[in-house]
Amino acid sequence: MLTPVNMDFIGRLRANDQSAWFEVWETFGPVVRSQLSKWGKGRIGSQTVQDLSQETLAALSESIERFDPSRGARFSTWLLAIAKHVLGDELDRRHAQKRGGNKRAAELDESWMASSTDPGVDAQYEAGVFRAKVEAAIRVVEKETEFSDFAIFSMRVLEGKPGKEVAEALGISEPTVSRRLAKVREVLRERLVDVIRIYSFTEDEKDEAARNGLLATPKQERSAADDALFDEAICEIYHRQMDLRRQDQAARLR
Amino acid sequence: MAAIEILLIVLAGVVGLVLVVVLLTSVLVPLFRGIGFLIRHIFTFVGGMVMDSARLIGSLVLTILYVPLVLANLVIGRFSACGHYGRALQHELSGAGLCLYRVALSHPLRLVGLHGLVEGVEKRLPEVMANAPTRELPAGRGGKFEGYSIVGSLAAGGSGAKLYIAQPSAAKFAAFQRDGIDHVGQVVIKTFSLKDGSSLPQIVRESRSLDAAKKLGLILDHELTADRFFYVMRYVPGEPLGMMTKRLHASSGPGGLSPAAMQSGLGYVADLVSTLSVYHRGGLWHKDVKPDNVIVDASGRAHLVDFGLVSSLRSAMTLTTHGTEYFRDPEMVRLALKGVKVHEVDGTRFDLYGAGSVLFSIIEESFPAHGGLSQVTKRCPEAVKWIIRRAMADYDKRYESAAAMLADLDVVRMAPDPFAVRPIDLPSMRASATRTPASLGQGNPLPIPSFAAAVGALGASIGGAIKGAMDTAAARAAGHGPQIRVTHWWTGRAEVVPPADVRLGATPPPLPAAPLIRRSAAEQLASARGRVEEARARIASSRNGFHFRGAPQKPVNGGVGVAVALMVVGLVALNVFRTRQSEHSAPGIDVSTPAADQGSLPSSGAIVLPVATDESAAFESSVDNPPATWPQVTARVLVINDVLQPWSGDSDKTLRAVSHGLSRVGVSALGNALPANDGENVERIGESGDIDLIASARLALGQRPTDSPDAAAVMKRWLAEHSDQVECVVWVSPQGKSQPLRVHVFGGAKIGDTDAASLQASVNQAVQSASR
Repeated sequence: MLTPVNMDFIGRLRANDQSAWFEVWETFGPVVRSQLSKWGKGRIGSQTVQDLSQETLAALSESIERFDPSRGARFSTWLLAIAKHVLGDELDRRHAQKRGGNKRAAELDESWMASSTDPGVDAQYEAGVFRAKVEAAIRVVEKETEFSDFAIFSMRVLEGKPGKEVAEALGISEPTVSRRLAKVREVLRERLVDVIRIYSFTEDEKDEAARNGLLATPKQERSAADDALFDEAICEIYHRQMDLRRQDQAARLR
Repeated sequence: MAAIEILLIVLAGVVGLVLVVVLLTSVLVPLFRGIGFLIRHIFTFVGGMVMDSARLIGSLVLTILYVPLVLANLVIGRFSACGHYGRALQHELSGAGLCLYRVALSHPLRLVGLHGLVEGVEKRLPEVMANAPTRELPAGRGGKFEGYSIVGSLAAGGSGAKLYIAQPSAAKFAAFQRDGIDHVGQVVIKTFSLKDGSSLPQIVRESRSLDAAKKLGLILDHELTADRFFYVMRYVPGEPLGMMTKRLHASSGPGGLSPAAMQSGLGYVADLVSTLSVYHRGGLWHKDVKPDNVIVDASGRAHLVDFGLVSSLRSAMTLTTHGTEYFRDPEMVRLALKGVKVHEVDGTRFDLYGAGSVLFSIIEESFPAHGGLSQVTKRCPEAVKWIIRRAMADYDKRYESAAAMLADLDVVRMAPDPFAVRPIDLPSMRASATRTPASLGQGNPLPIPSFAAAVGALGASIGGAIKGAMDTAAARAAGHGPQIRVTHWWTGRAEVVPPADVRLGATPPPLPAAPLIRRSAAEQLASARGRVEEARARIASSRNGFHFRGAPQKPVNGGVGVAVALMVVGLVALNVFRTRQSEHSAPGIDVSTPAADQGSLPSSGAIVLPVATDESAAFESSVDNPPATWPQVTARVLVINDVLQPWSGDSDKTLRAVSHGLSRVGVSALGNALPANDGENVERIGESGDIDLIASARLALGQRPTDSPDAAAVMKRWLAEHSDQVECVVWVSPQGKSQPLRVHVFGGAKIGDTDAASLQASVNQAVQSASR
């Protein structure tokens, strides 16, 4: 079911709002590229996959007009369908240039996917999209919180430093570190809900955060152990996302 | 007796067992591990030899196939195909050479444990060779540069320009000296030619900031002709920072930079930030800060080169996405895609992001793939991590100036043990966070004709040793310029002689107090009120009649006065005629927006303006037919326009309607978003405070659409924070192709002497009236 928030997001994409396209590609580009590389292994080079850029996507706003997410497709599936379409179109364009003739219309089931044994969207891709949403929420929190507060969050949660070490480095007491960390954690919980709502089309997608143990406990019933679990989950997601970006970067620079 | 013997036997058995266990764990386990390692090592060697031999054979087979194809295409005159096969041949040959090198040298040496001798040689050597100056000289008339003799060329960058090393003639030297530019040796000529594949927009972009760059001494000379453009800059012989970083890491090991290498790396970044400070004080920003654009000379000093993207900080142009990925702030791309103008943002912060990412790349020997969230994984002082984090933080949270970043860097560099410096020890974390070293003269005009002199005045070292660099930094902090002593007349090598009271390892003297950059709230309020008064006066003058742009205080010439009077009479007559005519015909613009119900309007809502389709109904002719009573609202309204230029006819007409409507209502429209009311199709350059406000509001709203409930809440918070400057925001944004513009009004509960609903209604009514 589409909410006004994500409907408006789709509206921005349809209106060819380039900043919206950039946002999508910045957030989900590495996951989509990784999936396309997996599908096209042996048939398309990494350079071809990397050629997918936000400009290319933006140029395809007309194809989005034809795509109706209200049919029950997940956001992740929708995203991949667009990328697949763009990549197929790019390949057709190249083939047409070689032939010297006109390009044919792109199809969603592209021939380059034939080498893949499993053309369906797998759980790994879905998990990757979810991690990208969490990363987007962390970025939003970075923008919204004080620099020093976010730095404390970064040192404590993302780098895994002990509270005492962070307190000594910043010249503050440990309780202050805990208090400011709790503040950022709370903002992150709120933004996780927002970001996941924007990038979700189905109810199933909206429940992803709770399913992954991020928003399972209501605020009133939350304990220190819940916070520790939350931090651990965020840390793991962040590091896996960082690995993905490193791989993506290596492929781009290859 | 027998019991004792039994006891001894048992004891001996236990001891023997222990000895066996110890022997097994301390000798046999490592032994088997060693055997395993050897087997693995040998298998790796054999596998590598087999694979590379197979690749070598494959490459040679393909080479043999390509040679006749190249020759055949050459004979039949298909030169493009010949070039294509030639490139493939070159690729195969280089691959074969690499495989041969591994089979003959790399793998055998690795087998006997001497791989350190040749580690990375196959990458380092081609890189050095590719970057080496060549003897390639320009051909034809297009390659001649008057006053310069070409002595070599450099590898071209990504811009497609050609780079030549040249020796200026005696006349040119004299000309440079006349301009106050000294110590010019060889120069680099960067040339863009339409014949060589450069495009006109590229040439225009490169030449845009030339004058400002020349004032700063960045550019020595330039020429623009019908088919080419070139500029001349100093030649800095040296190596790119990326290559220096590889060397630093090669000498330090896989764990990260050694303390000495760390000092060198920090010295390079300090030089870079010093140079950026000069740019920023000169009103420019570099826009392409990356390791490849930093050259480290033989003395160990880093120079920022390539001025292809240098822009004025106050440029009225729209931000562009040019730059290099991973070293370019993603926020800049977002703002550029939203059509934000250069003067609406603080470009210096984008350069500082680049400096932070360069520092990251030195520490990590990698790119910051994760933007501001990129994590340093190698050995690094906590304070340096903090500097990286601060430089690459969100746009409005990063360092306010290059000087602030440099102050932090200097503290770490001058510390006896950089690893002992904590983030809390950095100046930016203490009360002096908003102060800058006086020696940098932050905020003062730059009185220097020469870039080298400017950097020298900042205390940049010319001697290459780390000691020199550190002493220089100390001298900079102390406010004393270093003295330069030439040590080798033949090569021109020199070293820095620090002042007597500043020596390596000495505690830097406290930075002299400088005025606070951030003004107090009271001052900001007073300034904002002053601007509002100016804006009101401007609007009043534009409503009351003629005003002369640019020089209103000059006395009006009598002849001009008569001509203007005649023109006014003519216009009035024409208007009377049109008014009578319009009484007999329907208005040309159909305003589809329903009449506003002033009492029931929400505090924030959207006015969807119709797109005028009838060109005959010119806006200028209709604005002089106001409604019987114009609502008057006293409020400070910030207008933000997301409509990209060039505006289409319809958009321009609608924007003029908004502009005129607001001025009729009587509000003080701040910002530069709307076209001027004097009929010229130009944008007004806003006051600096307005620019800050617009940038702040854009950042607050982020990617949210203006009509989302979230946006209303965000803007309400933003207005509450800026209530001393603005009471209402009118946000104009496009909706899509062939869609009318969307005008959204954000306001708090109380706006000036009215409320949000009344203002909404007034603006709505005024805009509709103006559109008719």
